[in-house]
Amino acid sequence: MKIENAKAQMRKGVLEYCILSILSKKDSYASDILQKLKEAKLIVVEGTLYPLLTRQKNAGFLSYRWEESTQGPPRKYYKLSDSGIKFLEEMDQSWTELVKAVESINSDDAPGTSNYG
Amino acid sequence: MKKTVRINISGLIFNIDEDAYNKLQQYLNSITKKFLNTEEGNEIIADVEARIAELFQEKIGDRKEVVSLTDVEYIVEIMGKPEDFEEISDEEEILDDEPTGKKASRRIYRNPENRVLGGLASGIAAYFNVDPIIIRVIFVLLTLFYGTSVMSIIN
Repeated sequence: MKIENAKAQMRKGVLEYCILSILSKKDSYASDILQKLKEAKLIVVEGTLYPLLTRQKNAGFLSYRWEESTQGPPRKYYKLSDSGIKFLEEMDQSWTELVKAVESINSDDAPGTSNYG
Repeated sequence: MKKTVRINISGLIFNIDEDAYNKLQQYLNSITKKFLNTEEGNEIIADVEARIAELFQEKIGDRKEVVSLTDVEYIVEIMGKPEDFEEISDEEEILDDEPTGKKASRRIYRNPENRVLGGLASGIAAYFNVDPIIIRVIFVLLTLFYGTSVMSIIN
């Protein structure tokens, strides 16, 4: 099992969650989403984002409309759908539970359980 | 002095140096491979091309300059390497010290987007990761030696 795989697995789920979360605050272009992720220090390249956005759209969580641009071809302006909002709420819950579980395990102070001394 | 190519990417036209064009085409091919002609894959590729066109526009703009190799390398850096595009569904995907294994099931497809006759050379080239021109030259040589029997494969 490689560390790159493990890290990538962890990040992938989180990334999808973050995309929904960002869109729940404001309708956005892909580049806006990327910017917010950068600000939060979650570094991704654009190529990782487009497949995720399209898959979420095809799953019905997002919709988009075309917006004309002076800077080039028309751009997709994304918006969370109703089922996207519901899905996000469930992810929020799942995230909270997960964080609680991991923190509880990491802070387990019972004697004889630590290998780090 | 360099030869330039005129390209249409996402409806925008650019003049691009030939070496930059080759690199760009190789890059787009390796990304296209990831999505293997699904409808969703085509959507993703359209998004990627639109973004590349946008980036070219930013760099070149109204100055009517030519897109250079440096520009294409910049785009690859921003968009990410082809590996960054794929969905990591299971561990097998990022094994770089394992031999062929799962990859042996990869198939050769015709590539209708890059074709002279039937897109066959382009599809084979994409599979072996070489420039389609090499495959086309091989076809021509085979035809010269073995006659029209080879040409009949193409259609």
